[in-house]
Amino acid sequence: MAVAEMPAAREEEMGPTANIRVTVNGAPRSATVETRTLLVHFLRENLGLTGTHIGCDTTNCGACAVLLDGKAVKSCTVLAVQADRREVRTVESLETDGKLHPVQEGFIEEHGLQCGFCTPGMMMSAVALLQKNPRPTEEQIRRAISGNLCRCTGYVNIVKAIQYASSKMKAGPSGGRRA
Amino acid sequence: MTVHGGIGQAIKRKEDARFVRGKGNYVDDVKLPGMLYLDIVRSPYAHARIRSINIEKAMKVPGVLAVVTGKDLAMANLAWMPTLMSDKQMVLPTDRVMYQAQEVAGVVAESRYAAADGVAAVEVDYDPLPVVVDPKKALEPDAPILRPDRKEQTNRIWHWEVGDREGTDKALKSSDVVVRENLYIPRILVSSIETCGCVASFDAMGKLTLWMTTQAPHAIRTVFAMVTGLPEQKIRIISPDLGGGFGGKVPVYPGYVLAVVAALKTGQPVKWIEDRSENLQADSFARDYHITAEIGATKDGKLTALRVKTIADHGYTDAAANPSKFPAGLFHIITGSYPFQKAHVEVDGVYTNKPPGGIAYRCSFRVTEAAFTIERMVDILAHKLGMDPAEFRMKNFIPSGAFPFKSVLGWTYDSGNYPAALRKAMDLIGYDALRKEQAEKRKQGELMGIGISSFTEIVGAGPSHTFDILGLKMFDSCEVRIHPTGKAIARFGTKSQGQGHETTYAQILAEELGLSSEDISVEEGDTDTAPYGLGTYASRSTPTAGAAAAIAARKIRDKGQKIAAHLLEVGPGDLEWKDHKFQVKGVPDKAKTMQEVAFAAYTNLPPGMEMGLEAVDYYDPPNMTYPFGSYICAVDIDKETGEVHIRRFVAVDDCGTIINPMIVDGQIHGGLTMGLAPALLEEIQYDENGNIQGGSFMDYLLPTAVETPKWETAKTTTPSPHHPLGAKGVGESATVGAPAAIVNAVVDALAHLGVTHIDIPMTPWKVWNILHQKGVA
Amino acid sequence: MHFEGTFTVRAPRARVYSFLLNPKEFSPCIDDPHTIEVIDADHFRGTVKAGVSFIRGNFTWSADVKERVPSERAQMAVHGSGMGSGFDVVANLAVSEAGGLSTVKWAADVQMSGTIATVGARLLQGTTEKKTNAFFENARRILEGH
Repeated sequence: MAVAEMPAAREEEMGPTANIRVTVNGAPRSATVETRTLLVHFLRENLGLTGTHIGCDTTNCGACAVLLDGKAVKSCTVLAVQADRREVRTVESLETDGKLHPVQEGFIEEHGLQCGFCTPGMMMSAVALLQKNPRPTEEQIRRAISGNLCRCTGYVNIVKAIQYASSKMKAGPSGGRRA
Repeated sequence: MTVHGGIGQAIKRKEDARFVRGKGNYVDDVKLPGMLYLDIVRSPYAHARIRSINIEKAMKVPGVLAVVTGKDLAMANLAWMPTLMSDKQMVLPTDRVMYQAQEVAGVVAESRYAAADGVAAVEVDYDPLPVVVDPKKALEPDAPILRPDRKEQTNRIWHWEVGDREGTDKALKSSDVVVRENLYIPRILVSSIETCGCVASFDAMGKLTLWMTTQAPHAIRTVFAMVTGLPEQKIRIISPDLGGGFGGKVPVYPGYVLAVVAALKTGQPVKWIEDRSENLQADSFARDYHITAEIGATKDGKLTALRVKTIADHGYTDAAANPSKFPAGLFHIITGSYPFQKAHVEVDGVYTNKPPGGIAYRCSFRVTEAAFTIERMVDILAHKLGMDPAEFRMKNFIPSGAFPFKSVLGWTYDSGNYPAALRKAMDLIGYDALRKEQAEKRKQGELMGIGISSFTEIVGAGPSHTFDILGLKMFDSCEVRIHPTGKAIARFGTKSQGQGHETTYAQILAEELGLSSEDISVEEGDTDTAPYGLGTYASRSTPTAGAAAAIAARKIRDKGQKIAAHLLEVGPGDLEWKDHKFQVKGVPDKAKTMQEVAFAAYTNLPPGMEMGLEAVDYYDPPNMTYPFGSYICAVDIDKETGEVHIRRFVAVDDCGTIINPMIVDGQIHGGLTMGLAPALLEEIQYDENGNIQGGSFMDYLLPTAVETPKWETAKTTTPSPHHPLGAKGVGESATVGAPAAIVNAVVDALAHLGVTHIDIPMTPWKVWNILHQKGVA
Repeated sequence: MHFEGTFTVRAPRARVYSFLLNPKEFSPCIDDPHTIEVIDADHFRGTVKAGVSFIRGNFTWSADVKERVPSERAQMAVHGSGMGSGFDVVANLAVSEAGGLSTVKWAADVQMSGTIATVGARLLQGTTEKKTNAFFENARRILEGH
């Protein structure tokens, strides 16, 4: 496992550390981290899950959004130790058995992404929304993603992508439970 | 017969497959064995002498390996680097900082966290100096000279002018109506969601590989070779997936150079990724133009003359990424969609204690400033004459039969049909009905406005006789290889930042070669493999590299025709390229496909012919392209809060031939949102001490899904006569055209109160204050 | 930024004056963790751990008494830096006495630069007022012997 790859010699040099166990995308992961380590850095650097991005330093952009126990959070404002014994889902978990999640499909079909940098966070917010509210109105979608900034698309096609996913999930065999 | 994924088809994007899976490869995803992290000490002062830098405590921070200061760089002659505009810029200061957040030292450590600890432990002793924030005050005789290193002891960097000064003066004097307005277009930042950064790594042979957020990897390689003295073949720039660019990833920032120096110094790979606040506080800005414009007309509403004076705030150095011959960019496209007889434009570039930059914000070299000015002034004049702004524009447009049209300031517009675009926008939004509604609402005391912007752009830089950057002509390139099985790889000198080049370039080649776009892979951004090109900015990819793709494909067809003739045992002259095949003229079933020809190119060639099937083209465009459009915006203003609500926004664009309509619409949606942003929200302000007042996303407000309206788009198509495909480029049109439409709408809503202009951003606070002064709120 | 205010305390004027000019005496009035080193009667320096909102860290500072008219008025200049920020304060105070009450009229001009000015500016006014009030309340407790 790519966890705890800091050599032991350097641990003495680090600040206070803690042992954490986090279920990430369904798999149990454990590591010793500096207590100040942000969840986003733990995911990206310790676990190599680089799909979660960093776009700001003030919790405004949402590029780092992941699901923590099923709720969308900005992982730049959560410490890794706060995720101890909890469950994290990142963009890498959306595709299952070689099949894209309806939200992923919607983003491709409706041209809901351009540079792709905000996309993982945007999709995780969308997944969280559809879990709570499988048939959101346009207004509700816009509010739900207002904590995710996109500089390329002007949001019109992102809204359509989420609407696409909403109708697909309603029609699909696994219904709303997929999210 | 159509090919799969040819020109004009709204096919889905190839690149999405990796992005929706979180498998893009952005620079911060690059991880090398033994990689170290660079973090940067920045100045709290906008102008100060550095008394001392004490790195002792920083070097004791666990994990910190090195600290680089200006003195270290000066020894290697690297403390300064040249800018693209023949000025010079500090990598690190040796004695003086010139703007707040300027790089002062670099700390290299084993982790991001240790590097940040190291930054906090560096002690710098500053002696504050007088700060110059206002460029107008910078020009006053008693202003402190900010750049004593220059021969000219003034804060005026340059003066630039074009047009007929006396003629314009005379024409304005004899005009029946003249209006004059001061327009300030504030400093803004592109803020691509991915910030800038790089990973620098030297191999055992001394070759540098630099993964870097750059829109122009080849030009950057040449610049790095010239600045560092490294031989150019020993520099490999790789621009991986870019999380947006918009011009912010064209310049060479000190952080990049520092990462390379740090990699040299430590012998290990070094990563530098800037924070959002660093990005907002120190990276290349856009606009910051203080404009005074005068425009004249006859009493029956015919435009006569335009005079524009501008003070351009460039910060402490002129590091604008303009073509060399154009210190004010292409600002003289400012006569816009109108056939002025006389015009005169002058711009003074000025130094202040602010970061450098000057063009980046989804705009081809000051074209937004120009379009905003002319579309604002035309509107003010129409209101003054009591004419409807749509009618006034229709009366004054360059007639559709007048193209190619030579503008009074020297540009030759390749094509256009302005009345058609405006007519279409008026029909789509229901212009007359909106005007009626507005009159009704006004009677009831409600504030509603309608604004038009009929802009003309100039993009696709550019012809080699006029356009160069550091002497490098502004061509671009495509290299295509067709493999024996009829599949192809194509490489380009440009670099996508979200525009979807992997898809659209494949579509161009599919159309020209008769292959499926699925069978063509597109690569960009690696200087070791791609042909040289000047990169992606200023809406130039389709006008230049897109043209190169078409020409390279046609070169392949020329050879292919000879091979097909050999296979069909006819003369090459007996064949024609029809329905994406080489056909014997008049005998459609006697034909060879490109796939068959490709196999023969490696297996069964005519005697004496060279093996293989490939071509490269370096395309030197004969002219710029001139996309245009008409936008109409309807706003409602909340009297209680001053909030501007965009009720509808119709954008009719004409970018010539469309390669992929889905992608073009996406570009316009994004561009419109980056037009709305400065109109209503974004501004980087400074206080009198040079402190930035918008240095994080808490104060610098990007539009969210809530403020952004549901954009409505439509097209007219006027192909460029000189582009091989008739395409014109579309990435920036909407950012250029939208701000004036929004301001015109808001001013229109308040015109009956005597309001003629509001400087952007039109925040609720600003609008409410106006309403309050006018006794409405 | 300009701050000013008055503060009234039941203590003799000379006592109040010497209190406010003596770091050893006023040190306990500063709530933030800090150190003060007295170089001589007119020059002090030290560190303080302070901040605005989430921007918090260690600052080093030095203070010079620029003007001193015993029991009447004084001027002090303070320069500090840290956390990618800098501050300069010029503070004036005047003490008067009437009916067993001493009144301190004070004013301070503050110039901020760097991160605090950029990110924390809008919170600065409130934070400074809060800290100043706390300082004088602490001073009152000590001077009035509560």
